[in-house]
Amino acid sequence: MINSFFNPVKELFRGLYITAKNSLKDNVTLLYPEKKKNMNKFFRGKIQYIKENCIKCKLCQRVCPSKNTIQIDKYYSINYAQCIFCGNCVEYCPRQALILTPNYELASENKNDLIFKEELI
Amino acid sequence: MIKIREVDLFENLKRKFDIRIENCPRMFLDKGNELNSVQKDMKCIVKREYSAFDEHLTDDTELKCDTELNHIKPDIYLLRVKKEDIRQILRYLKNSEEYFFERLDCMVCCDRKKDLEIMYLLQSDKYNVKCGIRVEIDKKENQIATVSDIFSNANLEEREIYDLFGIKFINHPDLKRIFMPEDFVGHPLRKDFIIQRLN
Amino acid sequence: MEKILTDRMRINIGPQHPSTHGVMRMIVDLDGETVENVETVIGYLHRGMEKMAETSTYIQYLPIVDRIDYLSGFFCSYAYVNGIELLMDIEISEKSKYIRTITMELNRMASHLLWLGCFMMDLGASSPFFYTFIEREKILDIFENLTGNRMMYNYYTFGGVKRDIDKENLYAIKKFSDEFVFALKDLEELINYNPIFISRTKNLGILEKECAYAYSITGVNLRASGIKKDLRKDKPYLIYENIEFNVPISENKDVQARYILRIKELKESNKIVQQCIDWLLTNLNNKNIITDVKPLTLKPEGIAISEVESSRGLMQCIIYADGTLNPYRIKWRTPSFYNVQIINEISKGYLLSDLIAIFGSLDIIMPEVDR
Repeated sequence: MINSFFNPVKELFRGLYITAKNSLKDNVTLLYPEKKKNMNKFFRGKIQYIKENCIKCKLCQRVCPSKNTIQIDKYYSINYAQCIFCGNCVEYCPRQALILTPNYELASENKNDLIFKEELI
Repeated sequence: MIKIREVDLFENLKRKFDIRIENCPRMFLDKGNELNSVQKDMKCIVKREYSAFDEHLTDDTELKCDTELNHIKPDIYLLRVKKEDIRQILRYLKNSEEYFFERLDCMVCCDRKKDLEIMYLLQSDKYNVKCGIRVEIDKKENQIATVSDIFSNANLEEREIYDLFGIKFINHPDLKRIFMPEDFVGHPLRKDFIIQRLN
Repeated sequence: MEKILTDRMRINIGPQHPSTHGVMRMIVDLDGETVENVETVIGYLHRGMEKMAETSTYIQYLPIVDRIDYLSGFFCSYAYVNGIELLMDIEISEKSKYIRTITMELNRMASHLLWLGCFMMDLGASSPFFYTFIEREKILDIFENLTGNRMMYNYYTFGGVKRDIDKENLYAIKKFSDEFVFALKDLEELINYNPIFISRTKNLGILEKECAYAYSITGVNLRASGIKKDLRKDKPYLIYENIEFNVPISENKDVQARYILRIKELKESNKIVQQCIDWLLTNLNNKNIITDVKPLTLKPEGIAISEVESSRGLMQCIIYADGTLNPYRIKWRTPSFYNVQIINEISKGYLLSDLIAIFGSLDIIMPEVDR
């Protein structure tokens, strides 16, 4: 009878001891947007096109999972609203005409801002 | 895990029903036999049973083994049975002492262009054997009996196959669409249902 | 005093609710406050994964496979890649087998940690949610340095893995795995002896053996009913024959047994990770991680069935290939599709708040159910 009164009180103090111990540790959150985290070189952010290395082999169009993202006819265009950032096109390009950048802040108010076009001669 | 007899796993079943074995794992064959000789023996056994019941057979009936997609990895048993016998065969395989297939892993439906086909994958934990049973269904009259009172997890599987392929199951307790909305017209996973892009 | 006559009431736990993990609708028949019948309505998250496979090539389908179950992306990826490797008779090197094992076990730990946080949140306790997510963030940082992304990895390919593990990553994994033992001990002391937790989870939601076999349940839900079945011990696949680990089972069939088994599985996965690190640190100059195969023109032929023990149960991928550049049909057998069907059987006669605790202990994830 006395045991059934003291047992919950003992467990209450055991739980409070563990939460008090954890409240004295360091902070784990990062105050964004004043401080940002550094990404390493493999991070898959926005993809950039370099025109001098491209030989127009159309391999990047063949390995893209969402099939209308890269379009090549008179212009070379990438539609960032449809891209899933998987990294297949960067990996299969034979001349390294596409590189990965650590830029992930791509939000905009206009859908036409997200389409990238460059002229091919 | 109990070791089973190494040759002719489905010998008892062959005597009662009309089945055709399409793939026999290499570890269950005698040494020195190839797959073709097992098929030749099968032809003789089935022909003898048919002639005992006075049916007329010519040489070009469908006793030749079907070579469409029989190459399966890993090596497991594949059987092909008739549509009307499926309930008796599954009940026999579940309850008998020598087979004891206690679990239905899944049911796979595939649209070959001339007909539809369902494959039941069974698994036996006591003897550590897996087996696949294939049934052909015509596209005009697409009906088959349900197995949801033998294996209880076939309930949602058959609803999914009805929704995506259009096969009706006789005596199912609650047959209605599950993934698509209620007023959808058409069956999406058939080969003549083409998805158009809105660009 | 006369007994008050009550009538049955039908209420709706809608598709948007903080405690159904995903979008799922439950229609509950109540008599007073005891549950009589539960009907589940699914299909709000159907994305057409199986139809997408018929118009893509084998390389185009590979980043999509991670999204079948987003909490265990390495398991789904392994099931697909292993099926194609069985059809084409490709052998992989030993170092890539160790890399695949260590990433899959870390993924299992991350998935169980998220389950623990959300389960305690359903019962009303909000502190363990933050403590488990601190540990999960460290695992996701390790994956970001290794593969490039926190959740959709795109790291396995036909014949091996895409990038090598170097020394810094191995030391980071070793440091995490040494500190994880103490963090888990803190969590156990906080939760296990609490009298409110014990009275809310003991003798609740009992799953019998015949019911488990009839509905084809696998994974932790089956092992909590006393049956010892684990694919890593019955048919060992990668390098599980050379590693020592145990498979815990329990004889009580209730909610508390499933909780205790998942905590024990976290400790066993930690042991596996530590043994793999020891092997990898002694073989650092071995650079053989991928075998030569031409992935852009793959044309396999036949039927393949490949299976893996995922963090929720047994997952299978069945591929029908016909010798052209696109697969003919791909079918996914996911474990949560079968766990949904037993909610009606094991929750009859309990109260409404017990239904939330039972549903949380089964570990159901909706993208696996609907595909």
